[in-house]
Amino acid sequence: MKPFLFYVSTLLLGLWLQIVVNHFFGGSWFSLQIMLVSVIYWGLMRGPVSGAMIGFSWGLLIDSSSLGFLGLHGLLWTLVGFATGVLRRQLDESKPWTQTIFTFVMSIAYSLSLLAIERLLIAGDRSIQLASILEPLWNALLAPFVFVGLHAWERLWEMRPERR
Amino acid sequence: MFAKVLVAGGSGVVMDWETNERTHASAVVAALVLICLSFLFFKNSSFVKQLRSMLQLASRPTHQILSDFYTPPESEAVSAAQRTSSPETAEPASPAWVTTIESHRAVVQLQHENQRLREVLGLRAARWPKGIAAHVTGRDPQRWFQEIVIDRGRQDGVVLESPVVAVLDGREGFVGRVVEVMERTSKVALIQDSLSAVAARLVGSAAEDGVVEGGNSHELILKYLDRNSPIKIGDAVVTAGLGAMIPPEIPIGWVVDISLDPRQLFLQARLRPVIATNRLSVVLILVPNPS
Repeated sequence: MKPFLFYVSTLLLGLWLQIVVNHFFGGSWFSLQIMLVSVIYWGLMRGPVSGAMIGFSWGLLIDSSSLGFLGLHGLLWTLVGFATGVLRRQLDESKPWTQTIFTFVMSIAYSLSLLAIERLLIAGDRSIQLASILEPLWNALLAPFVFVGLHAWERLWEMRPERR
Repeated sequence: MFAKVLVAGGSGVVMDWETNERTHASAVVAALVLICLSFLFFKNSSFVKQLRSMLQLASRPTHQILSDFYTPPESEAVSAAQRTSSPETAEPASPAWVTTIESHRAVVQLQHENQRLREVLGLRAARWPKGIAAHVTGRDPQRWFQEIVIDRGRQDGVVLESPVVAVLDGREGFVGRVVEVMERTSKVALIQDSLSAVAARLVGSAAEDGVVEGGNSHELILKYLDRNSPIKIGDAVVTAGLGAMIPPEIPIGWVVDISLDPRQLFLQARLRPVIATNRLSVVLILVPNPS
Protein backbone atom coordinates (compact mmCIF):
# COMPACT_ATOMS: atom_id res chain seq x y z
CA MET A 1 0.00 0.00 0.00
CA LYS A 2 2.77 2.42 0.91
CA PRO A 3 4.59 2.17 -2.44
CA PHE A 4 1.28 2.75 -4.25
CA LEU A 5 0.55 5.84 -2.16
CA PHE A 6 4.10 7.04 -2.73
CA TYR A 7 3.82 6.75 -6.51
CA VAL A 8 0.38 8.36 -6.67
CA SER A 9 1.36 11.25 -4.41
CA THR A 10 4.60 11.73 -6.36
CA LEU A 11 2.65 11.88 -9.62
CA LEU A 12 0.20 14.43 -8.22
CA LEU A 13 2.86 16.50 -6.47
CA GLY A 14 4.94 16.70 -9.65
CA LEU A 15 1.92 17.73 -11.70
CA TRP A 16 0.78 20.37 -9.23
CA LEU A 17 4.29 21.79 -8.87
CA GLN A 18 4.59 22.06 -12.64
CA ILE A 19 1.25 23.86 -12.92
CA VAL A 20 2.16 26.28 -10.13
CA VAL A 21 5.56 27.00 -11.69
CA ASN A 22 3.94 27.60 -15.10
CA HIS A 23 1.33 29.84 -13.52
CA PHE A 24 3.56 32.07 -11.42
CA PHE A 25 6.92 31.96 -13.18
CA GLY A 26 6.17 30.94 -16.76
CA GLY A 27 6.75 33.69 -19.24
CA SER A 28 7.67 34.37 -22.82
CA TRP A 29 11.32 33.86 -21.91
CA PHE A 30 11.19 31.51 -18.93
CA SER A 31 9.99 27.95 -18.96
CA LEU A 32 11.03 25.29 -16.47
CA GLN A 33 10.06 21.65 -16.90
CA ILE A 34 10.19 20.33 -13.36
CA MET A 35 8.48 17.15 -14.49
CA LEU A 36 11.04 16.48 -17.22
CA VAL A 37 13.88 16.90 -14.72
CA SER A 38 11.98 14.60 -12.36
CA VAL A 39 11.62 11.95 -15.08
CA ILE A 40 15.39 12.16 -15.59
CA TYR A 41 15.93 11.77 -11.84
CA TRP A 42 13.59 8.80 -11.78
CA GLY A 43 15.31 7.10 -14.69
CA LEU A 44 18.74 7.66 -13.19
CA MET A 45 17.76 6.40 -9.76
CA ARG A 46 15.34 3.61 -10.59
CA GLY A 47 16.17 2.33 -14.04
CA PRO A 48 14.55 2.28 -17.46
CA VAL A 49 11.23 0.61 -16.60
CA SER A 50 10.42 2.97 -13.73
CA GLY A 51 11.72 5.93 -15.73
CA ALA A 52 9.53 5.06 -18.70
CA MET A 53 6.46 4.40 -16.55
CA ILE A 54 6.70 7.66 -14.62
CA GLY A 55 7.48 9.54 -17.85
CA PHE A 56 4.40 8.05 -19.48
CA SER A 57 2.14 8.88 -16.51
CA TRP A 58 3.41 12.42 -16.05
CA GLY A 59 3.38 13.01 -19.78
CA LEU A 60 -0.29 12.09 -20.09
CA LEU A 61 -1.19 14.17 -17.05
CA ILE A 62 0.58 17.27 -18.34
CA ASP A 63 -0.88 16.75 -21.83
CA SER A 64 -4.38 16.64 -20.38
CA SER A 65 -3.88 19.64 -18.12
CA SER A 66 -2.13 21.87 -20.63
CA LEU A 67 -2.72 22.71 -24.23
CA GLY A 68 -0.98 20.13 -26.36
CA PHE A 69 -1.97 16.82 -27.93
CA LEU A 70 -2.80 13.99 -25.55
CA GLY A 71 0.07 11.53 -25.83
CA LEU A 72 2.74 13.91 -27.09
CA HIS A 73 4.52 14.46 -23.79
CA GLY A 74 3.57 10.91 -22.80
CA LEU A 75 5.54 9.61 -25.77
CA LEU A 76 8.55 11.88 -25.35
CA TRP A 77 8.89 11.52 -21.58
CA THR A 78 8.52 7.73 -21.84
CA LEU A 79 11.52 7.75 -24.16
CA VAL A 80 13.42 10.19 -21.92
CA GLY A 81 12.80 7.98 -18.86
CA PHE A 82 13.86 4.88 -20.77
CA ALA A 83 17.00 6.44 -22.26
CA THR A 84 18.01 7.88 -18.90
CA GLY A 85 17.52 4.53 -17.21
CA VAL A 86 19.58 2.74 -19.84
CA LEU A 87 22.42 5.27 -19.57
CA ARG A 88 22.48 5.47 -15.79
CA ARG A 89 25.31 2.97 -15.43
CA GLN A 90 27.62 5.19 -17.44
CA LEU A 91 27.03 8.18 -15.15
CA ASP A 92 27.72 9.23 -11.60
CA GLU A 93 24.38 10.88 -10.94
CA SER A 94 25.36 12.06 -7.46
CA LYS A 95 27.54 14.88 -8.85
CA PRO A 96 25.72 18.17 -9.53
CA TRP A 97 27.76 18.75 -12.70
CA THR A 98 26.67 15.41 -14.08
CA GLN A 99 23.07 16.21 -13.22
CA THR A 100 23.34 19.59 -14.91
CA ILE A 101 25.03 18.45 -18.10
CA PHE A 102 22.93 15.32 -18.51
CA THR A 103 19.72 17.28 -17.93
CA PHE A 104 20.86 19.87 -20.47
CA VAL A 105 21.51 17.21 -23.12
CA MET A 106 18.24 15.38 -22.47
CA SER A 107 16.28 18.67 -22.45
CA ILE A 108 17.71 19.64 -25.84
CA ALA A 109 16.87 16.20 -27.23
CA TYR A 110 13.35 16.53 -25.82
CA SER A 111 12.85 20.07 -27.19
CA LEU A 112 14.04 19.13 -30.67
CA SER A 113 11.83 16.03 -30.71
CA LEU A 114 8.85 18.05 -29.50
CA LEU A 115 9.42 20.61 -32.22
CA ALA A 116 9.77 17.93 -34.90
CA ILE A 117 6.61 16.07 -33.87
CA GLU A 118 4.59 19.28 -33.56
CA ARG A 119 5.67 20.25 -37.07
CA LEU A 120 4.45 16.88 -38.29
CA LEU A 121 1.13 17.09 -36.47
CA ILE A 122 0.28 20.75 -36.99
CA ALA A 123 -0.18 22.14 -40.45
CA GLY A 124 1.41 25.54 -40.89
CA ASP A 125 4.53 27.20 -39.68
CA ARG A 126 5.24 27.24 -35.95
CA SER A 127 8.16 29.49 -35.13
CA ILE A 128 10.45 28.55 -32.25
CA GLN A 129 9.70 30.37 -29.00
CA LEU A 130 12.40 32.05 -26.93
CA ALA A 131 11.15 30.09 -23.91
CA SER A 132 11.75 26.82 -25.78
CA ILE A 133 15.29 27.84 -26.67
CA LEU A 134 16.15 28.83 -23.10
CA GLU A 135 14.27 25.98 -21.43
CA PRO A 136 17.15 23.42 -21.52
CA LEU A 137 19.35 26.01 -19.83
CA TRP A 138 16.88 26.65 -16.99
CA ASN A 139 16.24 22.91 -16.62
CA ALA A 140 19.96 22.23 -16.39
CA LEU A 141 20.68 25.03 -13.92
CA LEU A 142 17.88 23.98 -11.60
CA ALA A 143 18.38 20.22 -11.98
CA PRO A 144 20.62 19.83 -8.88
CA PHE A 145 17.97 21.54 -6.74
CA VAL A 146 15.19 19.37 -8.15
CA PHE A 147 17.34 16.29 -7.54
CA VAL A 148 17.89 17.32 -3.91
CA GLY A 149 14.18 17.96 -3.46
CA LEU A 150 13.19 14.60 -4.93
CA HIS A 151 15.79 12.84 -2.83
CA ALA A 152 14.34 14.48 0.29
CA TRP A 153 10.83 13.49 -0.85
CA GLU A 154 11.95 9.85 -1.13
CA ARG A 155 13.58 9.98 2.29
CA LEU A 156 10.39 11.42 3.74
CA TRP A 157 8.52 8.36 2.51
CA GLU A 158 11.45 6.10 3.35
CA MET A 159 11.33 4.84 -0.22
CA ARG A 160 14.82 4.00 -1.36
CA PRO A 161 15.55 3.67 -5.08
CA GLU A 162 15.59 0.10 -6.37
CA ARG A 163 19.29 0.14 -7.20
CA ARG A 164 21.22 -3.07 -7.76
CA MET B 1 29.06 2.54 -10.78
CA PHE B 2 29.20 -0.15 -13.44
CA ALA B 3 32.68 -1.13 -12.32
CA LYS B 4 31.48 -1.42 -8.73
CA VAL B 5 28.71 -3.79 -9.76
CA LEU B 6 31.14 -5.83 -11.80
CA VAL B 7 33.41 -6.30 -8.81
CA ALA B 8 30.54 -7.15 -6.52
CA GLY B 9 28.58 -9.53 -8.67
CA GLY B 10 30.79 -10.97 -11.36
CA SER B 11 30.67 -9.85 -14.98
CA GLY B 12 28.56 -12.72 -16.35
CA VAL B 13 25.76 -12.31 -13.85
CA VAL B 14 25.67 -8.55 -14.32
CA MET B 15 25.60 -8.79 -18.10
CA ASP B 16 22.75 -11.29 -17.95
CA TRP B 17 20.85 -9.12 -15.53
CA GLU B 18 21.43 -6.01 -17.62
CA THR B 19 20.34 -7.77 -20.78
CA ASN B 20 17.19 -8.98 -19.04
CA GLU B 21 16.48 -5.51 -17.69
CA ARG B 22 16.89 -3.89 -21.10
CA THR B 23 14.75 -6.52 -22.82
CA HIS B 24 12.03 -6.11 -20.23
CA ALA B 25 12.28 -2.32 -20.40
CA SER B 26 12.20 -2.33 -24.20
CA ALA B 27 8.97 -4.34 -24.19
CA VAL B 28 7.39 -1.96 -21.67
CA VAL B 29 8.51 1.12 -23.60
CA ALA B 30 7.30 -0.31 -26.90
CA ALA B 31 3.85 -0.85 -25.37
CA LEU B 32 3.76 2.66 -23.87
CA VAL B 33 4.94 4.26 -27.11
CA LEU B 34 2.25 2.37 -29.01
CA ILE B 35 -0.41 3.66 -26.60
CA CYS B 36 0.83 7.26 -26.98
CA LEU B 37 0.94 7.01 -30.76
CA SER B 38 -2.61 5.70 -30.87
CA PHE B 39 -3.70 8.66 -28.71
CA LEU B 40 -2.01 11.01 -31.17
CA PHE B 41 -3.44 9.37 -34.29
CA PHE B 42 -6.96 9.16 -32.86
CA LYS B 43 -6.82 12.53 -31.12
CA ASN B 44 -10.32 13.49 -32.25
CA SER B 45 -11.99 10.27 -31.13
CA SER B 46 -14.49 10.40 -28.30
CA PHE B 47 -12.45 7.91 -26.26
CA VAL B 48 -9.37 10.14 -26.27
CA LYS B 49 -11.47 13.19 -25.39
CA GLN B 50 -13.12 11.35 -22.51
CA LEU B 51 -9.77 10.11 -21.27
CA ARG B 52 -8.45 13.66 -21.40
CA SER B 53 -11.40 14.89 -19.34
CA MET B 54 -10.81 12.14 -16.78
CA LEU B 55 -7.12 12.93 -16.50
CA GLN B 56 -7.97 16.59 -16.03
CA LEU B 57 -9.49 15.68 -12.68
CA ALA B 58 -5.93 15.29 -11.39
CA SER B 59 -4.98 18.87 -12.22
CA ARG B 60 -8.33 20.49 -11.45
CA PRO B 61 -7.66 21.12 -7.73
CA THR B 62 -4.53 23.09 -8.58
CA HIS B 63 -6.25 25.13 -11.27
CA GLN B 64 -9.13 25.76 -8.88
CA ILE B 65 -6.83 26.89 -6.07
CA LEU B 66 -4.84 29.11 -8.41
CA SER B 67 -8.05 30.58 -9.75
CA ASP B 68 -9.45 31.17 -6.27
CA PHE B 69 -6.12 32.59 -5.19
CA TYR B 70 -6.78 35.85 -6.98
CA THR B 71 -10.52 35.70 -7.52
CA PRO B 72 -12.62 37.70 -5.08
CA PRO B 73 -16.06 36.24 -4.28
CA GLU B 74 -18.53 37.14 -7.02
CA SER B 75 -20.69 39.24 -4.72
CA GLU B 76 -17.69 41.41 -3.84
CA ALA B 77 -16.71 41.76 -7.48
CA VAL B 78 -20.20 42.80 -8.51
CA SER B 79 -20.58 45.26 -5.65
CA ALA B 80 -17.16 46.69 -6.45
CA ALA B 81 -18.23 47.20 -10.03
CA GLN B 82 -21.46 48.82 -8.97
CA ARG B 83 -19.65 51.32 -6.82
CA THR B 84 -18.37 54.42 -8.51
CA SER B 85 -14.91 54.09 -9.96
CA SER B 86 -13.98 57.76 -10.15
CA PRO B 87 -10.75 58.57 -8.33
CA GLU B 88 -12.31 61.58 -6.58
CA THR B 89 -14.88 59.52 -4.72
CA ALA B 90 -12.75 56.44 -4.21
CA GLU B 91 -11.68 55.98 -0.62
CA PRO B 92 -7.91 56.46 -0.37
CA ALA B 93 -5.87 53.58 0.97
CA SER B 94 -5.12 54.23 4.58
CA PRO B 95 -1.47 53.88 5.61
CA ALA B 96 -2.71 52.22 8.78
CA TRP B 97 -3.72 49.18 6.75
CA VAL B 98 -0.27 48.65 5.52
CA THR B 99 1.66 47.22 8.39
CA THR B 100 3.99 44.93 6.49
CA ILE B 101 5.46 44.75 3.02
CA GLU B 102 3.50 41.57 2.37
CA SER B 103 0.16 43.11 3.20
CA HIS B 104 1.01 46.16 1.09
CA ARG B 105 1.83 43.90 -1.83
CA ALA B 106 -1.41 42.02 -1.31
CA VAL B 107 -3.36 45.28 -1.32
CA VAL B 108 -1.69 46.40 -4.55
CA GLN B 109 -2.40 43.04 -6.13
CA LEU B 110 -6.05 43.22 -5.11
CA GLN B 111 -6.32 46.77 -6.44
CA HIS B 112 -4.98 45.64 -9.81
CA GLU B 113 -7.33 42.68 -9.84
CA ASN B 114 -10.23 44.87 -8.83
CA GLN B 115 -9.38 47.30 -11.61
CA ARG B 116 -9.32 44.53 -14.21
CA LEU B 117 -12.63 43.13 -12.98
CA ARG B 118 -14.22 46.57 -13.08
CA GLU B 119 -12.98 47.05 -16.61
CA VAL B 120 -14.36 43.72 -17.76
CA LEU B 121 -17.66 44.19 -15.97
CA GLY B 122 -17.92 47.70 -17.35
CA LEU B 123 -17.28 46.40 -20.85
CA ARG B 124 -19.87 43.69 -20.37
CA ALA B 125 -22.47 46.13 -19.14
CA ALA B 126 -21.80 48.59 -21.95
CA ARG B 127 -21.29 46.33 -24.95
CA TRP B 128 -21.79 42.61 -24.28
CA PRO B 129 -24.51 42.00 -21.66
CA LYS B 130 -24.47 38.27 -22.39
CA GLY B 131 -20.71 37.96 -22.16
CA ILE B 132 -19.18 35.49 -19.73
CA ALA B 133 -16.30 36.77 -17.64
CA ALA B 134 -13.51 34.25 -17.14
CA HIS B 135 -10.11 34.07 -15.50
CA VAL B 136 -7.04 32.93 -17.36
CA THR B 137 -5.99 29.88 -15.35
CA GLY B 138 -3.39 28.24 -17.54
CA ARG B 139 -0.77 29.15 -20.02
CA ASP B 140 1.87 26.94 -21.51
CA PRO B 141 5.16 28.84 -21.83
CA GLN B 142 5.97 26.90 -24.98
CA ARG B 143 2.72 28.12 -26.54
CA TRP B 144 2.84 31.58 -25.06
CA PHE B 145 1.44 33.37 -28.10
CA GLN B 146 -0.86 30.58 -29.14
CA GLU B 147 -3.32 29.45 -26.49
CA ILE B 148 -4.63 30.12 -23.00
CA VAL B 149 -6.87 28.13 -20.66
CA ILE B 150 -9.82 29.86 -18.99
CA ASP B 151 -11.95 28.76 -16.06
CA ARG B 152 -15.30 28.70 -17.84
CA GLY B 153 -16.62 25.75 -19.81
CA ARG B 154 -19.67 24.00 -21.14
CA GLN B 155 -21.41 24.23 -17.77
CA ASP B 156 -21.18 28.00 -17.95
CA GLY B 157 -22.59 28.19 -21.46
CA VAL B 158 -19.35 28.56 -23.42
CA VAL B 159 -19.61 27.24 -26.97
CA LEU B 160 -16.99 26.42 -29.56
CA GLU B 161 -15.70 29.27 -31.73
CA SER B 162 -17.00 31.95 -29.34
CA PRO B 163 -14.96 35.13 -29.71
CA VAL B 164 -13.03 36.31 -26.66
CA VAL B 165 -12.31 39.95 -25.84
CA ALA B 166 -10.56 41.70 -22.99
CA VAL B 167 -10.03 45.19 -21.73
CA LEU B 168 -6.61 46.48 -20.71
CA ASP B 169 -5.82 50.02 -19.65
CA GLY B 170 -9.36 51.02 -20.51
CA ARG B 171 -9.18 49.72 -24.07
CA GLU B 172 -11.27 46.88 -25.42
CA GLY B 173 -9.61 44.46 -27.79
CA PHE B 174 -10.01 41.15 -29.56
CA VAL B 175 -8.12 38.29 -27.89
CA GLY B 176 -9.00 35.15 -29.84
CA ARG B 177 -11.63 32.44 -30.09
CA VAL B 178 -12.57 29.36 -28.12
CA VAL B 179 -11.14 26.25 -29.77
CA GLU B 180 -11.93 23.59 -27.19
CA VAL B 181 -14.69 23.44 -24.59
CA MET B 182 -14.60 21.13 -21.59
CA GLU B 183 -16.98 20.90 -18.68
CA ARG B 184 -15.43 23.63 -16.55
CA THR B 185 -12.59 24.98 -18.64
CA SER B 186 -11.99 26.06 -22.22
CA LYS B 187 -9.02 26.72 -24.45
CA VAL B 188 -8.70 29.94 -26.37
CA ALA B 189 -6.55 30.24 -29.49
CA LEU B 190 -4.97 33.68 -29.33
CA ILE B 191 -5.02 35.99 -32.31
CA GLN B 192 -1.20 35.92 -32.14
CA ASP B 193 -1.17 32.22 -33.05
CA SER B 194 0.33 31.77 -36.51
CA LEU B 195 -2.60 29.50 -37.40
CA SER B 196 -5.14 32.19 -36.49
CA ALA B 197 -6.83 34.28 -39.19
CA VAL B 198 -9.52 36.89 -38.56
CA ALA B 199 -11.39 39.00 -41.12
CA ALA B 200 -10.54 42.62 -40.32
CA ARG B 201 -11.28 46.12 -41.53
CA LEU B 202 -9.21 49.29 -41.58
CA VAL B 203 -10.84 52.24 -39.88
CA GLY B 204 -10.64 55.67 -41.46
CA SER B 205 -9.99 56.80 -45.01
CA ALA B 206 -8.77 53.36 -46.08
CA ALA B 207 -11.90 51.46 -45.07
CA GLU B 208 -10.74 48.22 -46.57
CA ASP B 209 -11.05 44.57 -45.58
CA GLY B 210 -8.14 42.21 -45.03
CA VAL B 211 -7.14 39.25 -42.92
CA VAL B 212 -5.24 39.58 -39.66
CA GLU B 213 -2.87 36.70 -38.99
CA GLY B 214 -0.64 35.97 -36.02
CA GLY B 215 3.06 35.34 -36.16
CA ASN B 216 3.70 33.67 -32.79
CA SER B 217 5.02 36.98 -31.50
CA HIS B 218 3.57 40.15 -30.00
CA GLU B 219 2.81 41.64 -33.39
CA LEU B 220 0.13 40.80 -35.96
CA ILE B 221 0.04 41.03 -39.75
CA LEU B 222 -2.83 42.47 -41.79
CA LYS B 223 -2.73 40.84 -45.21
CA TYR B 224 -4.36 41.08 -48.66
CA LEU B 225 -4.72 44.86 -48.85
CA ASP B 226 -4.92 46.47 -52.26
CA ARG B 227 -1.60 47.80 -53.55
CA ASN B 228 -3.18 51.23 -53.98
CA SER B 229 -4.72 51.29 -50.53
CA PRO B 230 -4.36 54.67 -48.76
CA ILE B 231 -3.47 52.90 -45.51
CA LYS B 232 -1.32 54.94 -43.12
CA ILE B 233 0.80 54.13 -40.09
CA GLY B 234 -1.37 54.60 -37.02
CA ASP B 235 -4.61 53.48 -38.68
CA ALA B 236 -6.80 51.38 -36.43
CA VAL B 237 -7.89 47.88 -37.40
CA VAL B 238 -11.12 46.27 -36.14
CA THR B 239 -12.91 43.00 -36.76
CA ALA B 240 -14.91 42.99 -39.99
CA GLY B 241 -17.71 40.81 -38.64
CA LEU B 242 -17.86 38.77 -41.85
CA GLY B 243 -18.36 35.43 -40.10
CA ALA B 244 -21.35 34.39 -38.05
CA MET B 245 -19.44 34.27 -34.78
CA ILE B 246 -17.20 37.32 -34.49
CA PRO B 247 -19.07 40.64 -34.16
CA PRO B 248 -17.85 43.66 -36.11
CA GLU B 249 -16.01 46.70 -34.74
CA ILE B 250 -13.97 44.98 -32.05
CA PRO B 251 -10.58 46.71 -31.99
CA ILE B 252 -7.63 44.52 -32.97
CA GLY B 253 -4.63 46.84 -33.26
CA TRP B 254 -2.84 49.74 -34.95
CA VAL B 255 -0.71 49.79 -38.06
CA VAL B 256 2.99 50.24 -37.26
CA ASP B 257 4.58 49.31 -40.58
CA ILE B 258 3.48 48.83 -44.20
CA SER B 259 5.16 46.75 -46.90
CA LEU B 260 4.51 44.66 -50.00
CA ASP B 261 3.90 40.97 -49.41
CA PRO B 262 6.62 38.51 -50.57
CA ARG B 263 4.84 37.90 -53.90
CA GLN B 264 4.50 41.68 -54.47
CA LEU B 265 0.77 41.30 -55.12
CA PHE B 266 -0.74 42.91 -52.03
CA LEU B 267 0.14 45.38 -49.34
CA GLN B 268 0.53 44.02 -45.85
CA ALA B 269 0.79 45.85 -42.54
CA ARG B 270 2.36 44.99 -39.23
CA LEU B 271 0.01 45.71 -36.34
CA ARG B 272 0.54 46.40 -32.68
CA PRO B 273 -2.33 44.61 -30.90
CA VAL B 274 -4.65 46.55 -28.60
CA ILE B 275 -4.39 43.78 -26.00
CA ALA B 276 -0.95 42.73 -24.77
CA THR B 277 -1.76 39.08 -24.18
CA ASN B 278 1.11 38.60 -21.74
CA ARG B 279 -0.88 40.73 -19.27
CA LEU B 280 -4.16 38.87 -19.62
CA SER B 281 -5.82 37.70 -16.45
CA VAL B 282 -9.55 38.30 -17.03
CA VAL B 283 -11.34 37.94 -20.37
CA LEU B 284 -14.90 38.13 -21.64
CA ILE B 285 -16.37 35.34 -23.79
CA LEU B 286 -18.96 36.60 -26.26
CA VAL B 287 -21.53 33.84 -26.42
CA PRO B 288 -23.62 34.12 -29.60
CA ASN B 289 -27.32 34.80 -29.38
CA PRO B 290 -29.26 31.52 -29.89
CA SER B 291 -31.58 33.25 -32.35
